[in-house]
Amino acid sequence: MDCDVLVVGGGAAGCTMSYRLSKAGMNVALVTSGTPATAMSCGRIKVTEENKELRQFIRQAGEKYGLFTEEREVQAYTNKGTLYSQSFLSDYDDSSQARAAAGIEGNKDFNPDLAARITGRLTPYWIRQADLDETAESLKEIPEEMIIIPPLFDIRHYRSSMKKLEEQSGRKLREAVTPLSLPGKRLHECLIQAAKAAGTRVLEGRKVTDITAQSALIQSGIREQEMTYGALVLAGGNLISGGLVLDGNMVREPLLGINVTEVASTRLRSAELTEALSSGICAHGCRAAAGVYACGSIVAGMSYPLNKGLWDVMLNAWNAAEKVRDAL
Amino acid sequence: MNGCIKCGECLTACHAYRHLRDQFSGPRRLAVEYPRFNDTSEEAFICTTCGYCEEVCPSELAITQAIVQMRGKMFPPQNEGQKKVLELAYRTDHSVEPKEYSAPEKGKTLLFPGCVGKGRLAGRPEEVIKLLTAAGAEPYIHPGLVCCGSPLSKMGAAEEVERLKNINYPLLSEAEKVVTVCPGCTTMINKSYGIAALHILEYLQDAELNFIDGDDVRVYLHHPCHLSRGVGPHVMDIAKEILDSMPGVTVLDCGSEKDCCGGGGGVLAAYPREAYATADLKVKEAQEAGADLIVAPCPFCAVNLRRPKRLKAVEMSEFLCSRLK
Ligand SMILES: Cc1cc2nc3c(=O)[nH]c(=O)nc-3n(C[C@H](O)[C@H](O)[C@H](O)COP(=O)(O)OP(=O)(O)OC[C@H]3O[C@@H](n4cnc5c(N)ncnc54)[C@H](O)[C@@H]3O)c2cc1C
Ligand code: SF4
Ligand code: SF4
Repeated sequence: MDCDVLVVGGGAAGCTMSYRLSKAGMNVALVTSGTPATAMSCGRIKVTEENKELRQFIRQAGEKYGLFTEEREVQAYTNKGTLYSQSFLSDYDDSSQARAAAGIEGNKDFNPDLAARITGRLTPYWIRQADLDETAESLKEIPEEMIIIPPLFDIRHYRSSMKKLEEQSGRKLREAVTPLSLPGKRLHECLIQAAKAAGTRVLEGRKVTDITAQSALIQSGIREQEMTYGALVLAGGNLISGGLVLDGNMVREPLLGINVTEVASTRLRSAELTEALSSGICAHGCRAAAGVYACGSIVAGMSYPLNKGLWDVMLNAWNAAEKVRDAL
Repeated sequence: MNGCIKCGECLTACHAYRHLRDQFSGPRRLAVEYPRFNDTSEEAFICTTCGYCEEVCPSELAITQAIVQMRGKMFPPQNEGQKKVLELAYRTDHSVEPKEYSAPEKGKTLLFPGCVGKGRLAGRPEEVIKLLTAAGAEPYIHPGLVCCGSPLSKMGAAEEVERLKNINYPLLSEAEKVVTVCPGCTTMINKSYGIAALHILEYLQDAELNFIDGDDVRVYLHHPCHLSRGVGPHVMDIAKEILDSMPGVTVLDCGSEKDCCGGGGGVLAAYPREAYATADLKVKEAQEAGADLIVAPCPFCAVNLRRPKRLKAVEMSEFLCSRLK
C-alpha cells in the first residue's frame, strides 16, 4: 500500500485532516490541485464552537510566520466594504485605531479612497510602487501614526518585512483584509506547511482523476500514476474549487458520484444556486461509503453561504480525523 | 473561456502581469478585448506559457492553450525576434543555429537532443550521452532529427510545426525508447506526436548513478514551468531526490523556485529585455538565499537564467555529468 490514508484536496479541511492523521503516526498522502477556496478567502477565522486543540493547532501553524499571534475578537474591513469578525489576530490585524490608509499605485488590492468613504475616519493617501526602503520613505511623509496598507509580503517574509517597514518608516502599520489577496494565501500556506511538518506527503499540482477500490489515479502533468490506499478522504471543497460539480440539474461529487442532494432545476437562478451550494455529499458521521470519508465544505451543509466558514470546516475535519483514525 | 468565475487568481499568479507591465494575456484579454476589438497588440506575446494561471484556476480552464490558439490567429508575429526565429527554422530546421556535435548514431535509446542542446548552449549532446551511458542505456542521436516544433507552436506557426513533425516522426517512431532533455520536447512528442517520450530525469529515476565526493555546493533548484507544470510536478520530486543523493550538494528551499524564469513561450526571442528582467529578479532571490549555483532541469531556462551573470546557472544533466564517478 502506498499510503494509509489518501486525502483529496488541500484546503483548510484537507490540511487539518492530514495534519491530525500524520500526528497520529499514519502514513498520509495529500493530493491537491488548483486554488482552494481557503486561499481565495480573507483568511479570517472565527471560532463558532469551542475546541481547544484546534485552537492550539491554528496558533502553532501560524506562529512561525507571525500569524494568529493573539486571540481576541475584532472587526476588520476590506476594500469591498464587507465587515467580518475574527478570533485570531496577527500583530498587524487590528486596524480600529488607524486614521490613515495608504494605497500603492498599480496595486489593485486596496483602494484607500474607498476605505476612507466606507469608514469615514480614514485619510486616504497614494504612494508610489517601490522597494521596501523607498516605501518606508513614502510612509514617513504621512502624518498619521497608524496607517493601513495593502498586503505586500508573502508568508515567509511577512513578519520580518512588516517589522522592518515599521522600523524604517516610524509608523505603526496595519494590513488591510482584502479577498483574493494575500491573507487567505498565507493561511493556506501555513496550513500546508503544518501538514508537511507533521509528516504528510503533499503532492501539489496533482489531481485525483479516478478512484477504483483501494486505489486512485493521480494525474501529474502528462502522466498518470496509481496510488493505493487504506482509506480515502474527500476534502475537495465545494463548487468553487471543484470538489462538487454541477451538471445538468445535479450536484454531484465528481469522483465517486455519491450521495449528493439533487437540485431540481435546469436553470440556476440564485435560489437554486444557494440550494446547490448548500448541498454536498451526505457523509453521516463523516463516513461516505466503505473506507471513504469526507470533510470540509464538500459535506452537505458545510458551505460558506450557510455561514460555515474556515473554523467550521477545520473543526469538521479535526473531528472526522478521529473517526478515520479509529476505523483504521 | 466559458466557465470563468472572474476570481482573478490567474492575474495574481501571472508573473508577466506582476513584473513586466500592466499586461495580461489571460482570460480577460481572450474573452473581451480580442474578439471585440480584434486587437492584435502585444499582450498575447508577452505570455511565457508558464501555465501558472492554469494551475491556480479553480475552473481548470485551458488558458495557455487558448493563448497559443490566439497567436495562431495572429500569425505571423510582428516582432523582430520571433520573425528571426521563424526564418532560422525555415533555413535550418532548428530554432537555434545548430552546431557540430559527436554522438553515436545507432543504439537502443534515442536521445532527442533539442535545439538548445544542438546549438551547444545548454544540455550539450555529449554530456547527456555520457550521463545516459552511465545510467546503463545505449543512447544514440539520429542525425536526421530536427526541431520538435514546440517553440514554433508557441508562436502560432502551425504549418511550420507540421513540416518539422513530418521529418521527425518516422525517426522517433522506430526508436525503442525516446529520451529528451528539454521539457518542451517531452511534452510536444508525447502530446502532439503521440509517441511516448521520457524526460531524462524520469529516465534516471531508477538508475544507479555514482557521484564523486565533489566540492560543497548550495544549489538553487529552479522549477522549469514546462517541466514542473507541463510534464508534471512528479519530475521535480525526482530532481530533488537525485540532487539529495549527491555528496556535497545541498538543495536550498527559498520559496521562489517555482517562479517562471521569464524566457519561455517565445518571450526570450520577442522581448529579450522583459525576459532578462524576470530572470534577474529570480537570480537575485537565489543569490540572497545564499546559493552558489542555479541548477535548471531545462536547457532553455538555464540559458535565460545565465543572462543576468549574477550566478552560475547550469542545465541539470550537465551538472550531473560533471559529478559522475
Ligand atoms: C472569496 C471568499 C472569501 C471567504 N472568506 C472567508 C473568511 O474570511 N472566513 C471564513 O471563515 N471563511 C471564508 N470563506 C469560506 C472558506 O474559504 C471555505 O469555507 C473553506 O475554505 C473551505 O475549505 P475546504 O478545505 O472545505 O475546501 P477548499 O479550500 O476549497 O479546498 C479544496 C481543495 O481540493 C482541491 N480538489 C478538488 N478536487 C480535487 C481532485 N479531484 N484532486 C485534487 N484536488 C482536488 C481543490 O482544487 C481545492 O484546492 C470565503 C470563501 C470565499 C470564496
Ligand atoms: S501562462 Fe504564465 S505568463 Fe502566460 S498568462 Fe498564464 S501565468 Fe501569465
Ligand atoms: S483563474 Fe480561471 S476562473 Fe479565475 S479569473 Fe482566471 S480564468 Fe477565470
